[in-house]
Amino acid sequence: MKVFLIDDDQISNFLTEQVLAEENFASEIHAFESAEEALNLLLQDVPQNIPDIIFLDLNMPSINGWEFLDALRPYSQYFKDSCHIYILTSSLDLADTVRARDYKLVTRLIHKPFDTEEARLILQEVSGEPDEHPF
Amino acid sequence: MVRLQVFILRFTMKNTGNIHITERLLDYSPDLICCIDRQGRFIKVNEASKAVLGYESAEMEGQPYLKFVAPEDRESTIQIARKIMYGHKIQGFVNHYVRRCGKLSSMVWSAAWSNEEDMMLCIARTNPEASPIITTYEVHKALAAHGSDVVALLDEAGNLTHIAGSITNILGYVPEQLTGTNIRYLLHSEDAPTLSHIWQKLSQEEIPKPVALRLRAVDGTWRRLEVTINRQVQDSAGKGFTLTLRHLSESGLSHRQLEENEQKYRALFYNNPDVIFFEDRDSNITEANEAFSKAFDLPVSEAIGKPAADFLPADMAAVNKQSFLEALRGSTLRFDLELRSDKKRCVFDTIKFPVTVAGQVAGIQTIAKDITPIVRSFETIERQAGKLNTILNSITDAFFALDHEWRFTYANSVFLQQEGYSKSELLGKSIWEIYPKVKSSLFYEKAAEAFASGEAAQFEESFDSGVTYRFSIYPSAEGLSVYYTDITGQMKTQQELRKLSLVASHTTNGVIIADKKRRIEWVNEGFTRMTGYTLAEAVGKRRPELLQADEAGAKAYKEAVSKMKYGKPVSLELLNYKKNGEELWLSVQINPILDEQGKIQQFITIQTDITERVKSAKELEKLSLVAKGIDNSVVITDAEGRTEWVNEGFTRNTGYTLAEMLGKNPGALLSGPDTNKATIRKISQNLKKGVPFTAELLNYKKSGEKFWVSMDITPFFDEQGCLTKYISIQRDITYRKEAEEKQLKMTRDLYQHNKDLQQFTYIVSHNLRAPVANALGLAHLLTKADRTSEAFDATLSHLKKSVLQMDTVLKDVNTILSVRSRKDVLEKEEVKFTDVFGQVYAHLQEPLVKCGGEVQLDVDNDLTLYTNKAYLYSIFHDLLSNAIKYRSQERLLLVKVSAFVATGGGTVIQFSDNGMGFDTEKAGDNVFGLYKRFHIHTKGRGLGLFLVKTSVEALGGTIEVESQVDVGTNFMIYLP
Repeated sequence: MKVFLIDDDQISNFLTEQVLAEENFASEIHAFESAEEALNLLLQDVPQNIPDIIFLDLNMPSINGWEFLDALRPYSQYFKDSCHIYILTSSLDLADTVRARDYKLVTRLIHKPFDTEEARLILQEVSGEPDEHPF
Repeated sequence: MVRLQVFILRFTMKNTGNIHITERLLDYSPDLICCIDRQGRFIKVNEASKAVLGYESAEMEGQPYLKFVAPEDRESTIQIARKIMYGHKIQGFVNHYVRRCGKLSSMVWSAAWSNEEDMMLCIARTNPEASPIITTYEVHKALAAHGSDVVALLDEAGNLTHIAGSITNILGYVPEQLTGTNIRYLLHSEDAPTLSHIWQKLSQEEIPKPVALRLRAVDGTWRRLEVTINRQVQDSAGKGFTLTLRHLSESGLSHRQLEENEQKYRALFYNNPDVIFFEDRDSNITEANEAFSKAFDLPVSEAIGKPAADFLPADMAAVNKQSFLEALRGSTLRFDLELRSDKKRCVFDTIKFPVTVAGQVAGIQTIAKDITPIVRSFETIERQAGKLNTILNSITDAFFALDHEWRFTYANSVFLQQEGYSKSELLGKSIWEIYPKVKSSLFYEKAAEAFASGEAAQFEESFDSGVTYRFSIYPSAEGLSVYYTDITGQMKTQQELRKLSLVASHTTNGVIIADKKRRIEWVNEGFTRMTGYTLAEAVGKRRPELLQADEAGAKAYKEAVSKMKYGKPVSLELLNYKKNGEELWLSVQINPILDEQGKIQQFITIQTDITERVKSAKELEKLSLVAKGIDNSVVITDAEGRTEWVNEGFTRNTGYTLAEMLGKNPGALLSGPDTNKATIRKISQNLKKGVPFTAELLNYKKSGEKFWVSMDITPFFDEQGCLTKYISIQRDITYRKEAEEKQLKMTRDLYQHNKDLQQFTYIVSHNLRAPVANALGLAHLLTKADRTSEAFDATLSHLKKSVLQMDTVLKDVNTILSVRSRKDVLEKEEVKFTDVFGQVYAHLQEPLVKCGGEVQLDVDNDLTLYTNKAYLYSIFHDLLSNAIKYRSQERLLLVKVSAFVATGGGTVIQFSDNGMGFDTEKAGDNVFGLYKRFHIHTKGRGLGLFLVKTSVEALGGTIEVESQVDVGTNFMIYLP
């Protein structure tokens, strides 16, 4: 399982890594402090470097999370099936949650802090196990 | 009757004029000239007959000529006449004619047949060499033999051959008169059978008895005579007879016969339609008939025994008396008797003659024939003729008459006077003798046409002398009657009138022509268009009768009338009403037309519709009344925008008086530097369009004080659609504008606050939440982690950092809020620019020197600002620290700072570096946004520029930025 963390907040990245490690989530974790870096790597040899999961922060200098998603849009065919993108934000702003639904590539928006429960849920989603339908 | 003849003669001479010369010649010829038709009758005999034969020509005309030829010559005359009829011309033929006196006259004849006239034309004169052919010896002998009673010898046919002088006593004829006359010619037709009976007896050799026969006397009356005819014993041939006549009274006719005659006479007397009465020698009426009774309206019995003078008017009585006396002396009188009563007038042709009994005049008989109708018609003719003459002379047209030979037969006094001829100079002369040029005139052409066609004509002709005549010519059997009038003046007047009426009928003004009593004679079409009344409706009325007016108008017109009566021109304005009741304001000018004596002939009225003008004047009047009272400013300008009038409100609002504004352009006077140029342009465009519009504008009072006005500008047009005025109503809306501005500011503030609130939401949800979330996460990790592990230390360290971060954010929020909330209560002071900047430089000198950066200051040492020192300090500090933080790694930092006083006041500060720069386009609005960062690898919270901008704005200034990646950033700050 290959995971990208995109967040300019080092502490947040540290926290996410710790939680993923605790859950033995991934074999490979890459943390990017700017969206630009991540984008450069991703679009270098499409679809070579596409990870299984991307945790994306929204509030970043230069290129923010939304702009990152916009930049991926032309390649959505490569990401659609193979990559789950989770927005991981400290924002509690409802506007962001609503906006996230408009992006097909985004699986869901997760409010920080990231915790083990959330990690387990993601693992379920990514491994393709069917949702437990509540009804 | 005499009068009538005289008149006819006079009239004939006057009217015919052309005298038949041949007829005159005939009449004056001493020779007998005559025409005889195929039947042998005289058709025409000239007056010489009287001298030559003793007969009036009338006595011969219509009679067979043979009757006048002596019996001995009749055979030869007939022979000759036949020859003439066969075409022989005869000269010197001699025969004998019986003169009226009975004597024979030897005549020498020349004669010829005229096929043209189908008549024999003869001329004769008395043969000077002739001697009597028949001696009268034998005749005298025969007459003597039969005694004194024998008055004549008769031949077998009954012709009287020889007549004794005694016949004169019996019948009044001289013997010669009757020679050759047949006895039957003298006989009353009723007695013809009696004579035939005698003739029969004579032929049977019997001796007839004397008989009573009526014979005609020389005066035409019938005489009842005892007639005896016997065979002439001594006559050798035995073919002659003797005629004996004797008065009946002497012969002792039977009483019965007398009675019978008396009866006949009475019937004739009483039933006669003519008035007959008999007067005795004392002039008393002894007998009168029914007609008399009717004519004098009294019974016959009352007239008997009274003189006729009793029943006659005085003048007629005198005439009657005179005639009576004349008649008593034996004359027969004829006169006109005129009877006049209230009801009628009668005229009688009256004959008075003596009635002789036994050689003595017994009395006078009067026979009066009522000729009243004849007299009347005659008088009518005479009167009409007189009238005609008067008319001809009194007509103002010139008049003359021409006969068929173009000779003047009549000319009236006007013609004579006009042409300068006397009647005698003109009459009988041909027109071209008088007017040689007439043949080339239109008159001649038309007159010739009229002669030929017999139709009347009318035409006008202008002559070289400049005059124009209108001719009327009437052809008749006698010639041509010509009337003409000089219409030269009339033509001129007509032409002028035609021109005038052209003008009058086409002018849009109403024109009225009225007579001197102010009754309308004519109105033009303009009048009809204006008022709705047609010419037919207007004629005969006075103006106020036609055009209704209000009380004031009626009064004004009445006053005008009083002036008009003195012949003065009047003009007035008044309100009338059209036919349809609409109001009609008129400007009326009335001009009396005077004749040469200064008397009023006519009035010409010209009226102009001024309804629009009056209405707009009234409106303006009202408007100015309103305008005067209101607080708003009112300005009236002409079409060029020059002020004509301002109200008091304008003066109150602007300080400018009417006198100051007059003729000036209000915009030029009221506008100032802050007046919006675009609005002025818009106003001027709208003015040109000529449409009403509204504009809001900042103007300046006379005092220089600014004020806002809202203007309603309305253009005004005249009837022709030309723009004449603008009226501008202006309201001072300064208060509203201020309120608006306040509101705008409030809105802006509200917007800012709103924006700030959003910013805070962002700050809370990102910048504050982020460390909180981290702290939460880290705290959770710590609960699970091994206290001794390396991860535990790292986690703890991160937790500490996160909490510090939270603290920083909270501090920032505090800073921002304090900057904002204090900006209205900032203490300002005079601050020296270099002082403040020096302090900042000193504070940041260490990192600056460390990175090798340099600051170039280009500011006047004395430059001071009136501002808050702390704010200015923080602005410079943040900008300089940003410059150091975002310096380029490839070159040494160079910061340039300059400042100068702006032209409009305030200070402009320029702050530029050669650092990393950023993409201005990409950054957009976010350059000065809170917590917006543009650089990844440099530490920064995104607070600096936000605070710079907030501070600058708190000082009342503005800040702009330009930047280019890897070139540098340039800030422009304006501070008041």
